[in-house]
Amino acid sequence: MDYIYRMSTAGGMTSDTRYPNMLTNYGDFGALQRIAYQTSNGSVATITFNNIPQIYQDLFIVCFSRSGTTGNYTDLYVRLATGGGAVDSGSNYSTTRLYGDGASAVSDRFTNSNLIYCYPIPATSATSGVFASGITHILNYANSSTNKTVLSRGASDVNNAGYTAEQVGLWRNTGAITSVALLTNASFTTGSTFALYGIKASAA
Amino acid sequence: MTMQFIASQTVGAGGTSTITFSNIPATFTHLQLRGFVQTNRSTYGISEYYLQFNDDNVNTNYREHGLYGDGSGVTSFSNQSLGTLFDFNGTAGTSTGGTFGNTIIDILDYANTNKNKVARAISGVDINGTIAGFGGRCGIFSGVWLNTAAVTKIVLISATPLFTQGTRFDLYGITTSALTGA
Repeated sequence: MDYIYRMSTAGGMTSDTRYPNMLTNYGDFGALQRIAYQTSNGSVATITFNNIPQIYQDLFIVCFSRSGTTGNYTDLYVRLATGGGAVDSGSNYSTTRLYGDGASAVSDRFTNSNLIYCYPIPATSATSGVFASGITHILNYANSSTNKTVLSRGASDVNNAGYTAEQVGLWRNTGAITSVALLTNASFTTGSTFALYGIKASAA
Repeated sequence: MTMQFIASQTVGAGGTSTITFSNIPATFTHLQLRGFVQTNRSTYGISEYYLQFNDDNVNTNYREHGLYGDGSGVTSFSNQSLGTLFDFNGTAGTSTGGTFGNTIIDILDYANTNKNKVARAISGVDINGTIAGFGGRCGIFSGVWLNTAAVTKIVLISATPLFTQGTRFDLYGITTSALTGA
């Protein structure tokens, strides 16, 4: 099945669970292949993809996210794991960011931190129903000889504020990535979605 | 939308100054090039590389624009003096060992013979601080190649002597739906 069309609202196609499940089951777009898909029930601050297969060249993550923490905005973060172990929460990460908030352009850096900063996402004080749209690339994630670089783009606009951002993060660990954790403060709001894809580098 | 693998190039021992994709088929709608890059630049922790189409090295046929942050400031620039398209970010040999930069380059409508070619990219590298005063960098980059020929060859050129071992580029073709165009 190459394409998925939403023909009507009949048959439960508007369900928050059944429609994404269809995409999960048929998320194969040639070299870009769906590995897993998760949604937030509103009570989790961490979404983790475990047991990531080592058969792809790159990982590609698509997030549609909002946080239940206070304020207008907070951040989406990444932590990684190798060898099937727990995600690394040590001070082994660093981040360089570039973002604009409608008034100014800023670049900043975090060194020896315990997570990678990705991009701002709306929080409880932001206009309701607005989520951040973001993508994350992790190239050569399965190799075991280089540190891992995480490249993200994310944006949202809440009609009185907004951010567009790019981020590059480093995990100083040469292990093949077996888990990716996406985190925020407090919790991801219900309706937040997270899709993990693998990108193959072969014609097979 | 479907993504199809076309070809891959990985740098071996000894390094190389250029990486080439030739005989690119015209059967896709767009191209995407995914780069995992390190060079042997000395002194600094980051380095740059460039892109050239169809062996055209005439300066006036290219123009690039970029916007990047280096952890302390933001820079916007434009160049037409390199005979190439784009400054991308890779790491240098002096950076934290085993660290490579990432770049995603999209070349839309590359096979169309009625349009000049525009490409855009996101690119970044982080080295957990600074080396010789320069730290990580991330940015968005775009460029035009003022030529309406179909892109059949892409050459990636290291701004410093060599791409180092382990540098890798994967080229993909993007097809769109015949029904919806999506």
